[in-house]
Amino acid sequence: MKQKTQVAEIDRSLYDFRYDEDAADFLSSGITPEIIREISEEKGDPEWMLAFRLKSLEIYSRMKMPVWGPSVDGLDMRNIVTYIRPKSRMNTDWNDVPAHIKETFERLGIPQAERESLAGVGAQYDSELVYHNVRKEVAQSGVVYTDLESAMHDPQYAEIIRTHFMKLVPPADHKFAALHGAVWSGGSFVYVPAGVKLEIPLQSYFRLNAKGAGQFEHTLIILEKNSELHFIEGCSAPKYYEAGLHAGCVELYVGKHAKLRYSTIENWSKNMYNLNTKRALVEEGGRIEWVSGSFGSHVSYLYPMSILNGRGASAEFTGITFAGEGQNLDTGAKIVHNAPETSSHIDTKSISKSGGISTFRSAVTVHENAAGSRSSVSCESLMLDGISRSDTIPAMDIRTDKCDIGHEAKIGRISDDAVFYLMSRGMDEQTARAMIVSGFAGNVSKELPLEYAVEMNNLIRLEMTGTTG
Amino acid sequence: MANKQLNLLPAPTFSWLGVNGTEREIQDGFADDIVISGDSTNPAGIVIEHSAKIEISGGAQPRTVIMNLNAERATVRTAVHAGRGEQIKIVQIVTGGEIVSDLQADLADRAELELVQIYLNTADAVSGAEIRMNGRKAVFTSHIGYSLANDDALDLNLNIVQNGKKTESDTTVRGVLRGHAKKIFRGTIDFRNGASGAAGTEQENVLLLDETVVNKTVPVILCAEEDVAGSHGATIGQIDPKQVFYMQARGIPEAQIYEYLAQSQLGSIVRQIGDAETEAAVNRLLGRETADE
Repeated sequence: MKQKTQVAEIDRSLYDFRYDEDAADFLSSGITPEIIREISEEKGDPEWMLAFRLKSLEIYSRMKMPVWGPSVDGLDMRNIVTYIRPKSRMNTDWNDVPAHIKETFERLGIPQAERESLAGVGAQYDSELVYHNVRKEVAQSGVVYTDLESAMHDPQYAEIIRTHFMKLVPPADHKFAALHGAVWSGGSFVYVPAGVKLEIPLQSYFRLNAKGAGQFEHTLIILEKNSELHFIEGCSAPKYYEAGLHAGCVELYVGKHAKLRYSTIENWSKNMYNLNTKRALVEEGGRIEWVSGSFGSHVSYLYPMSILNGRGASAEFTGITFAGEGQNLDTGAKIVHNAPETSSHIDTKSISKSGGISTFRSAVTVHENAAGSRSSVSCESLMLDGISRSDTIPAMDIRTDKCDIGHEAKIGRISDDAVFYLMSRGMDEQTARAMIVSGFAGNVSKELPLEYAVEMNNLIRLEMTGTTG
Repeated sequence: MANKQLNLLPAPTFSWLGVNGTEREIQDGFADDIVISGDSTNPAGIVIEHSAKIEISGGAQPRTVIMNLNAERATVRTAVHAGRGEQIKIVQIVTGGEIVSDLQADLADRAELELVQIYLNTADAVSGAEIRMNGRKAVFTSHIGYSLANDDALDLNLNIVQNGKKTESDTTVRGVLRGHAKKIFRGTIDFRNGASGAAGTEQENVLLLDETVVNKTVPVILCAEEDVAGSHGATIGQIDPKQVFYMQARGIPEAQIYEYLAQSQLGSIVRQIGDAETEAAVNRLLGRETADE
């Protein structure tokens, strides 16, 4: 009888623990001007930020839900609590973090990673940063890595925040960008001075513990010319029956000849709506590299955008999406070629199983002023059963003749020929199929630092068991 | 007259790209009603200058229908029914002004449909086709070519729905854009659940000859079946400078090189027409474009 490959669901047991919420202050659910004022007061916003929040709320109220992509009908904003403050202020000493929060991040391996391989760590629990620390030698090089609120109140950085905050992703960009503008809380501010090259990464980890809540962190990174940074972002939440929402925003400014790698391992629980917006502006000769693993959430809309705004700027997006039972993950990338001789490359893989829906969606636009630009897009999808779904929806909008644009996509199942080849080398069928599926995900794991590649492989846990198919 | 949404992308994407569909004013009624069924004599060609409704069915023998759409303003609706084992080839040569063309085809078991579409200097053409491959082992092959210049506009939508087991589709699109020409091509291969053993490929190659052209390409694969093989590809851009250098080294003037390469871009599509007289007419039109400039 024919044997079918069984790829296990992602093992989430590591992430499915939670603590009582009486350790936190909740605001009322829903979104009203009163709640916005309350958040603003709680955070001690400057006047311009309160005005910005209220304006964003206006935009949110009049904008419509997207008419494309997965359904978000299960998300009732009237039931979402937009601000939860843990009863702990920001700490720079790990020992000062409350025990239950400390244990959460210890179980996720964050302090250990900081000791072993990171230049700095930020940890957000629900709506607020609870810990931020950066190695002494990194701070001495002039690198700033702090929470966004602290930076906004620091006279040295206040104006930088004001001139960059939600300029790349304006609130009118889409409904959930407007929501973010209204209720954002937490997130990181990173500033790398000209010529400084960090050889080890910084990491922020976002944990949403409360049920029926939203997390709206804002990450703002500015790289001056000739600088380099690898920033890692991790996200998780325990599973609840109530819908949760993540509508974060990431704005990256990559200066002339600077290089930024932004890696994300996203593993939200399957009750979460992950409606995140990420955007990078890259100046002359600069480079942005996105490495993205999407494994969690019930529904995802996630398409990091790279705006190549200076001659010779480049972007690379490497991503993998694994959609299992109950998941509808709509992921991909957007590239805007807005200067001469810019280049981009998108390489994605997606796996669908147990009724999961995986959609690759992309947009490559080449403007009139982008002569000499090049772009290549490659996406591959693997269907592991007949009840799942995998769609590929790329688009190209080309407005100059002096360019070379290529796109290729493939969809299919595990090749019988490849299995036969490996079996002829002495492997049993299960091992052969496991090796093929592991190799399929290799484009992302080989781009991650070793310890994160190991974490990703643990996440995928491509265990093969032979059952009758 | 009524405004109607046309060429809807089966799976809509980012609204700001402007590729999810288009809207046009559609004339009411049809001036001509043409039926080509099993007992009809195969016409050498149909010239369509007004709005027309055309129904084409297969027969015992393979059938070829050549349609020449050349009108200032017309709406043409074509329905194709390819029964079990029937073979139909449809050639559409589209020139002229505001043309809206819609083709709907149903393919039964082992039916074969070949579609050749060539669009030459269409001022504002909207052309949609939906091919429903419901029968087992049905085969659909399409060859689409376009040459647009000046302010020409072309909006294309090809939706191939593969329902039947072991169905096969193969689409090749080649085009040339010059001047301020604008073109959208949406090509969808839709593998439905149950279409085990199905295969579909789609490839578009676009040659851009002026910096003022606008090209939009949206190659979509929708898949709800595990046992399928689907692929699509697109290459968009300028003439390879190495090719130009090679030909220059053989004494061919640069302007002439561009014309040769532009004409050869559509050559493989024109050769699929399979009717010497029509091929000659299309080649004359392609040559005349060169002379006009």
